[in-house]
Amino acid sequence: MTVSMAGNLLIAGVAVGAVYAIMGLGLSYVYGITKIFNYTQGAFFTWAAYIAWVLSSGFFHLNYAAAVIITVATMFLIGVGYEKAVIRPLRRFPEWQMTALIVTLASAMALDNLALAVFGYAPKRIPHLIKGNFVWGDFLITRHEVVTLVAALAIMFLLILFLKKVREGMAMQGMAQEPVGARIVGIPIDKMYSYSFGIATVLAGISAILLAPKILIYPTVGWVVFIKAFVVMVFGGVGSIKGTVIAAFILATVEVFVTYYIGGIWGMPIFIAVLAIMLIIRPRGLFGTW
Amino acid sequence: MVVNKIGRKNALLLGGVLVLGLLPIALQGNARILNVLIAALMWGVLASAWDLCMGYARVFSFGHLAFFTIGAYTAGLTARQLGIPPLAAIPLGGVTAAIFGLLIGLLCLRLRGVYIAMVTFGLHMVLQTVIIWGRDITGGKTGVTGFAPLQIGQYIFSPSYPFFSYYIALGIFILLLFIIYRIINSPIGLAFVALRDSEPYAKSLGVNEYKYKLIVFGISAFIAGLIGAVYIHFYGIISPVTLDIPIFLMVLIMFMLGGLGRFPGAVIGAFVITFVTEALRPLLLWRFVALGAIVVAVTVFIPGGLMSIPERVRPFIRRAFGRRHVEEEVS
Amino acid sequence: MLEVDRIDTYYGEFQALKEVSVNVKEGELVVVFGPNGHGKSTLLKTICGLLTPASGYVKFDGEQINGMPTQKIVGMGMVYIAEDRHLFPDMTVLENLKLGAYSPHARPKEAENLDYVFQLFPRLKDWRKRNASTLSGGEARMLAIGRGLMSAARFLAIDEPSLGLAPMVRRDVFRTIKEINETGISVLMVEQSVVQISEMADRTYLMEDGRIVFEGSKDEALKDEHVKEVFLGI
Repeated sequence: MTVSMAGNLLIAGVAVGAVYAIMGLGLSYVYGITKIFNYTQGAFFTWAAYIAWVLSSGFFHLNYAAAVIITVATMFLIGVGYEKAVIRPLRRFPEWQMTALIVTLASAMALDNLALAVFGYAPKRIPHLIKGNFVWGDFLITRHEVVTLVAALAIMFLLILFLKKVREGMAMQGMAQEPVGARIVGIPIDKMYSYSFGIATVLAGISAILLAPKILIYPTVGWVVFIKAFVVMVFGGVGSIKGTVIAAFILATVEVFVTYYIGGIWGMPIFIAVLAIMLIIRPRGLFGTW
Repeated sequence: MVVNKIGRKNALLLGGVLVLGLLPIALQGNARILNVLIAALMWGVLASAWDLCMGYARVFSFGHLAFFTIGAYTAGLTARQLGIPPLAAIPLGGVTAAIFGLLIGLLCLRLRGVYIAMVTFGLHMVLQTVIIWGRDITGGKTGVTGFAPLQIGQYIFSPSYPFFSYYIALGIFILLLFIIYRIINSPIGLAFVALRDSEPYAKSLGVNEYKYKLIVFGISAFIAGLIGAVYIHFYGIISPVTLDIPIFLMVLIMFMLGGLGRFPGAVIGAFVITFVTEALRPLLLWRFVALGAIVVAVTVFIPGGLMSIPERVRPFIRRAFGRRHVEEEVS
Repeated sequence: MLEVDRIDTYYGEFQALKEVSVNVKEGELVVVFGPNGHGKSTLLKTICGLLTPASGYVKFDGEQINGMPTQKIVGMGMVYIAEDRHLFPDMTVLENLKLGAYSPHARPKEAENLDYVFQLFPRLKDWRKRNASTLSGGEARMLAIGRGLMSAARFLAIDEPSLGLAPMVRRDVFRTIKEINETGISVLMVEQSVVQISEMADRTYLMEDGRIVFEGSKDEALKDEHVKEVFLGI
């Protein structure tokens, strides 16, 4: 293995890791605040990619920046609307978290197949955010990858800031730590549930915009990313932003190397094997707090 | 009063079995419906075994479709490569699945719920890859055919002999469901129900909880593997399709819809979902959209599953009639 | 100020409150006594909206509040201080207090109330950077009460403030509650034993098996044969 080869793979790994991190943060966010393990996150990823496609190259041919902004805004509304329409009615009943599991699974299946029925099997492609590369000697990084990386770090930073310093963010963290306490001090639980779904869905949307240009868009594309994001979340420790981000970078880098040297089909099993080893050695993940 | 209640439940179960036994005659051997019924019976067993694990032992397993597939491949491949007769190959499938179940259980049953889900789903993913990768033995994506069928005289357990096959499937169904029923009503099963309903019991169960979970996990993996072996003998083909996510969702939804931890809810769910999926076939691509939407709608209105409806209605009745009812119970 | 009229509350099929009626007038300190597990906490949880009664009603300032979400009730000036505290464990004392003032009507008074809380419990000020999970029982109790006060409440529903505290600390906590009450804040408090705090209560109720079985002043309570039997064993 040459140094430049390894370097390029490392760069690619870090860029993919950034996407897993954003997606994993979305999962972790909803799980932390609502204790729902949200299966629709993957389907939301898929739909964000399709929405971006429809707005840009597919149909409306909007300016890509406008398309991205509209996609993100739409995702927030979808997330909030989904919580209000589907999750909220469940919450009146005992053991609703179990029921939520099946409902998000079923929604994911419905949304995946809706994408198939509407857009067909033929894969779609959306453009990179910015075209072109940065090159230093043998090292090469696309501008898109740079944007991805910056976006991931910015999102992580903003999320921490929001949870630590902003009243609404603190309230959400309060819900995550002590749901009854949150109700006692008068935090509007319903609103927080909706917003946390909205934020997580936006994160799915951003990951789609960042990752989809590098892979093709097809109706179950979100599942692959979803499962990896889940592994990332567990590996890093549920509820830890730092852990999620670090885990994402480690696993994505491992994946990129394995894919290159052994073959693409082994990406996922390696992912899971690494996780299994981790769980045996340290079940609460790298930075888990429980 | 209590004895009466148990008696009534058993009577209902027996009635259900009787109805299932008479169905083919009522249907006058309608091949298409019978074949759907056979599928429902087999899914019913898998869903019940899975529910035993998730609903009763509260082990958050996402690996049961993997156990099902392990059983299927073990039975199919040994039958084909080694010429083992189906009657031996099918139990062998169950045993292999149970061994995998125990190994995985040893690894992960001490972990928290979501993590167990992850490790067991890991097995699912790894299995899929191994099957596709080990093409020479497993047949890869296209799968394997041409193993000896389950046969009695001229009758073959396959969709071409629906009347005969239905009764074979029903026999296996009754046998396996009876095992599950006995476990649920055994001291272990009752301990799990107590554990689910009340925290103090959980503590008194103490150290044994892990052991009990492991036992139940192993048994339910065994049943899943066994029915997987039966399944592939019926259709005459093993393929990694059984690991596809829509199927995973379908089985999961079966016992969730029927009512988690509410025997025999999983069977009812299996019948409903199998028939709904079948009925939605003309929708083509829209089928799973509709199925998903129906499930979401149903669970939003009856979370806790179909089997929880009577429980849910009872307090309302009691409240509506207030004291009178309470007095009746006292006297 | 608070009127509870013949409420029934259920946990699933189990009826925890049976036709319970309680009222608290402006500025009063009312105590509901009763053995453990007989519905006292359920009563407070029903009043502040964590549970919904199946029948009967709860009125606060003449407005019906049963069925309202807790955040609205908090917004009207009532706050519940829980027996098991429900503090935010991984937040500092200061962050806990700040979230206590989450309700929109409490936000303008946040600084003022924070001063008041620190004046009542000077030690909270010293510990403001400590994680809530590191506090001892008595300290956590103070924080819970302080957090309640941050919501600019005119009415406190306090669940067993003495639970798990050493006798000395217990007396401090009771004295502070009386102090708070004397500033004009109404208090409905739940306690296991009538004896220790009989001198501070304006009125008392005795609750047994989900029912109110006695109502009267503190003196009447101490004279009542049944109350004596239950609490003094005579």
